[in-house]
Amino acid sequence: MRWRGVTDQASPDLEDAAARLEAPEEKGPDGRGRSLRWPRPWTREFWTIDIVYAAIGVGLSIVSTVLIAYLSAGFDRHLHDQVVEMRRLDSVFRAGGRELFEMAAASAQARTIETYLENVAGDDQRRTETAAAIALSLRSFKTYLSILAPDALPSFTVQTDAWLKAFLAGDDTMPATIRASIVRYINGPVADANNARAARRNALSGEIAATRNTRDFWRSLGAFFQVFGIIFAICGQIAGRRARARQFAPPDLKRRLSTGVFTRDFWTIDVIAVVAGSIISLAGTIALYFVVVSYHHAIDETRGLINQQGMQIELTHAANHAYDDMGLLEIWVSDLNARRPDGAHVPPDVSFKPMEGEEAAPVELPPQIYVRSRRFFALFWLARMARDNDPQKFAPLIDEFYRVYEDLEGPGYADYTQRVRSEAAAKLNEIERAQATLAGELNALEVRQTLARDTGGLLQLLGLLLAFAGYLAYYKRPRL
Amino acid sequence: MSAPLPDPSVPAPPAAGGNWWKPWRRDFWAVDVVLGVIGLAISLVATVLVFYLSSGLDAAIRSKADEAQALNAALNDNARSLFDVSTTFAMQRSMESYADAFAETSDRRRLNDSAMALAARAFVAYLAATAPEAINGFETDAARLLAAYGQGQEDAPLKLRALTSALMDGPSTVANAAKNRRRPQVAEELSGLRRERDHLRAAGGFLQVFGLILAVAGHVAGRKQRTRQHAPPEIRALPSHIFTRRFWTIDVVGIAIGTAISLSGVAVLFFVVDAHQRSIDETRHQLDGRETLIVVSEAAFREYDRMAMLEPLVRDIEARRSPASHVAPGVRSAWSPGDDITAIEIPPVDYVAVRKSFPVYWLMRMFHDNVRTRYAEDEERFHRIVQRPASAEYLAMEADILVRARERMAGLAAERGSLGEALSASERNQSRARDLGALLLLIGLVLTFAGNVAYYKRPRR
Repeated sequence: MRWRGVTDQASPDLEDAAARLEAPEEKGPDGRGRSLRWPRPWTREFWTIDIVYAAIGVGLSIVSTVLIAYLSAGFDRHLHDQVVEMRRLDSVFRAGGRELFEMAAASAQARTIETYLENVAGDDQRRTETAAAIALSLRSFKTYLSILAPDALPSFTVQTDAWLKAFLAGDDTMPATIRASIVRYINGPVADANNARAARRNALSGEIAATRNTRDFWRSLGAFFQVFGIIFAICGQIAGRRARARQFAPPDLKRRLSTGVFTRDFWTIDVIAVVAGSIISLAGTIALYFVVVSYHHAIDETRGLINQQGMQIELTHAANHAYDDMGLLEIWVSDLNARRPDGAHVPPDVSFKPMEGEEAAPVELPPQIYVRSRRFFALFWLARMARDNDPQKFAPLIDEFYRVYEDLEGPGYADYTQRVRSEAAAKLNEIERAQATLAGELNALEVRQTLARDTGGLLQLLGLLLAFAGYLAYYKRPRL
Repeated sequence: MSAPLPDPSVPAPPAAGGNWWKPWRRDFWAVDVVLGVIGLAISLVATVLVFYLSSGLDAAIRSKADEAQALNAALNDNARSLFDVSTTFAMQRSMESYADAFAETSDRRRLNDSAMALAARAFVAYLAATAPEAINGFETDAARLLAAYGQGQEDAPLKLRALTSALMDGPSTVANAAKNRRRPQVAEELSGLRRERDHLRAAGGFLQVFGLILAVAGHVAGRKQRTRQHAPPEIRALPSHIFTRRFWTIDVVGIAIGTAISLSGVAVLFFVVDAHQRSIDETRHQLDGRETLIVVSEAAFREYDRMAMLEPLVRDIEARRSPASHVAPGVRSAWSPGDDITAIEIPPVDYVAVRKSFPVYWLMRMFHDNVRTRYAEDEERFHRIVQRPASAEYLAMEADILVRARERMAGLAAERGSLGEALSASERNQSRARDLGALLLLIGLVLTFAGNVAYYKRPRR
């Protein structure tokens, strides 16, 4: 058998034989040729192997495109919601931290004014102006509550309004009771809500990474099927050509037309290109999934670090400011205390349970110690920050904090304060320097991830191009 | 039309495809090869170029977005620091007034010295947020003033306060104005970069697909050319140009429709995605604006309350002054180089009231959404009345501003929520439009390919 001429058909003689007028299937019942018509999709003859493959391939490509677009949009939405929730938790943490220092400074200021009025004013003026100062400082605590435990705000407002009225009516235990109530709210609803948020925050970072991984997995798989569907359609075209060649080949040639995968005849240029194209596309998919995902881990880690450091810087600046503000009050209130005249008002003792179920204890501290204790809120944060806000690392400093807190007039206080402040200042410097480096690192990681994504996409497309080029090359093969 | 069945009795012509692997030969470059190579090259080059450009633009967008975020944060910090430092100085002045009224000289100096040092530190934090380059100069001047005060120079606290006012009106205001000018520019540049990236991606996506379509077109053209080449003369004589029925075989129709669908995908990617991007940019801009209004106003309310606590205190201290109380000397100073020398010291009550007017001034701007044309009239009135902070007119204006500001804050919180939802919806719609565009591009390609396959499955005689 000789192959002659150049046509657009894979096996020109056989193809033309398939189309010959005398083909039995083209004859009608009367033996005459039927009129030309497209094969009907509901007839068996329509579903030749090329059509089956093409329909599966094109269907695969379109369905994966639609599905991936749909799934991807769903995952994107979910991811967007999770990121928004994370941002909200972060901003609550930051705003709560800032407001804690502001609230502490406002309370210290109210207590300083109260001390001044106790020294110099008569009962009526003392009560009116102290109540006004406490009411203003309570607004700061209400802002703090509205950020961290909004559920507790209505009951706190009702209770403190009543206590302020009682104070104006002559109950001098009320300022101390209000201050004790603040501590109770901080230790109660605020601490509970903070713990719940911290737990959610930890869980959420894992959930975000998992959603991103799943989305990227589906996207890379979908992109592969988009390309592979078309490659599969090309396979169908090749298989159809081969089926027709076998179908119409003369018996002697049919025997020679071996189709086993392990024969030389099977590996024509188009088949090689289809296989190579599929492998290249698969390599692109692997690049898209594994390399991109591994970059995502690094990016998440760096972004988390930048975010954490940004929060540390912001809160540390706020803590330093509040610490200095309250330092000014501490000097002032100490002087007020030292100048307390004999006729000055002495507030009555108040006992209060710091937490439900605990024993009641006297809650009122001398004013200068109260201001110092509020100032310690800022110092508490500085101690955490100095050790990267890592519970493992800051635990010894916090243990020491609570020991020193028991004796704010003792010798350990000044030493502890100085150590923590200098350690915190050094850490702040270090973090601020690191922020600039980390931003560069994040940028580099994102560029590398984009390159990996581009390479993956490019490889997938190259696979398709190769399969198509092989298909074209087959028709341009040298023939005898 | 397929090629005629060869007659086995006729000797075979020389193999026409024998040089298929030699690209330097003329017969290698048949129309299908030429169009195929051009098409695949367009597709590949478009892919590489668009990925490359897209990566570059992505990096530029990220860095521009970082700059926009840093500017937003800086402006919010500037405003917050201004209120913080105002409270600190109001407190320092109240304490000084207390020391003047109640303490003997040595205690007074000791108290004031410590308070001034702490207030100066707070001002350094303000400068760090607004004009860090002015910190060194301020620290040197403040240390000099504190040393002078320690040696008995009684006008040092007043000079320190005058220095802070000069720096607020000077480098801080200049730096803030520069940041304010840069902010809309960055937003504009950012949206420009995003649009450029999306346009390039859309054009690149089309060329990626169109390159493949061109390769298929080359395949069709090659087939037609060969058919004509080998067709009998009577068939060859039949017209086959574009306006004839013969030209529009199913594969050509597939290519034309596929190209049109791909083009419509590009149009979706180009115009619809772009329209959504504009809407997203606008919503984001409004959201950022409201976020700033809310964050700064929360700080303004808080610091207003703290200074409101100080106001009756300092009034009481002043009322209790005895004839033996220390009287601070008057100080005159230039606000900034070139200004007239002005008496800067005002009574402590007025000083605290003026510091307290800083957040009030912001709240006045805030309830007009910080739009100059809307707050200009109120601003003028504010500047006129703030000179008399104890007057009934000022107090009435302050009360009115606080009420309106609280109302606006409630509205802003609601607007922030609905803008957040609108932004999410716009982003979802844009994502859908992007998916639809990409899908149309793919369908165009698939249709072209299907046309090519269909040609071989056409009914034949």
